[in-house]
Amino acid sequence: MHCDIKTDMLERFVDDDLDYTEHKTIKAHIALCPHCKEHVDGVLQVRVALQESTAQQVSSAPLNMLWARIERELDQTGAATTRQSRSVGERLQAWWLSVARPWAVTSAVTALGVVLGIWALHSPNNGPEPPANVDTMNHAFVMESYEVLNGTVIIDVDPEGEAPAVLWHFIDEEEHI
Amino acid sequence: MHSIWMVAVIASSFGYSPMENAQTDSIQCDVQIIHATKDGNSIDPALQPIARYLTRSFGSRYRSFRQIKLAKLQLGLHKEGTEKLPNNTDLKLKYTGTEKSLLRLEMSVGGLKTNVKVHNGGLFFQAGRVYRGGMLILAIRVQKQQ
Repeated sequence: MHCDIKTDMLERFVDDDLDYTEHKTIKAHIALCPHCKEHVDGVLQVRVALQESTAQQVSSAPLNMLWARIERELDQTGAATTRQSRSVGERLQAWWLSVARPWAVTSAVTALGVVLGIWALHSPNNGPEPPANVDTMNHAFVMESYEVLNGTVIIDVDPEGEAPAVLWHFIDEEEHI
Repeated sequence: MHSIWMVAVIASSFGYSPMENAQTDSIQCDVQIIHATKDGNSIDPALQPIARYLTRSFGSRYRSFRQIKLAKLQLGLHKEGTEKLPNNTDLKLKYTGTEKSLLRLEMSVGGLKTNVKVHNGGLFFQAGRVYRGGMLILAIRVQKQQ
């Protein structure tokens, strides 16, 4: 079915990024147009799936180890600062760093912005369409539950849904090359 | 009550039946059984459409990928399909329903049993089991039947 509403408008509708009149118009249109309703439902579904899989990844990530390490590093840094009395040279160095660091951060952010800009200009989205034999499907994946008799299970999910998830199952007795 | 019978008569005259619709709710699972090895540096032409995913996910350890078999399982709602794998284990897939654009599957393979949701037309890999000096990879694409 052909429809004049651009998908961009539908996605902005989902993002709640339209003004009042546009929002009202699109909402009324969706109520009548099954094609656009299907598109909006699809976008919502994929977002929910991605949120679920990201939440699953975050909940399964070993953040306790990471935080323990960060806290250890912070403790060490704090202890070093309080232990030593600083010389004039060290104080000058500290003053220089306090002046220079904001500039360094600004320069780094600017450089990152330039790099991202160049990347965006050369990214495949702005280039020609991918060849017909290249898979461009959405690979959103959610694992609801699992049971395993033996071995280890690791789930590797791309939060963007661009690459397929990998469901690893290793048996401890098996030796990999 | 009269109007319900009218709708039923009209629906049946157009060949629509709720029971028939439930029966036609089915999916197709394309299962590519792949042997990954460290030797050489070749990708089976049959795997070309997913070559970039294979190298991205497994390329740090394996360099050659050969398709052993492509199995197509057509599954009706709550129906199970089985495929014998080369390492003498069974892959069992069962279609358990649709949640809008996501298809729900129950998968059982080599001691692992899981419930997953996959985007219609999407692909996922199952990997990790040793096979003939390499590893067995299952590339499973799930597509709703029209």
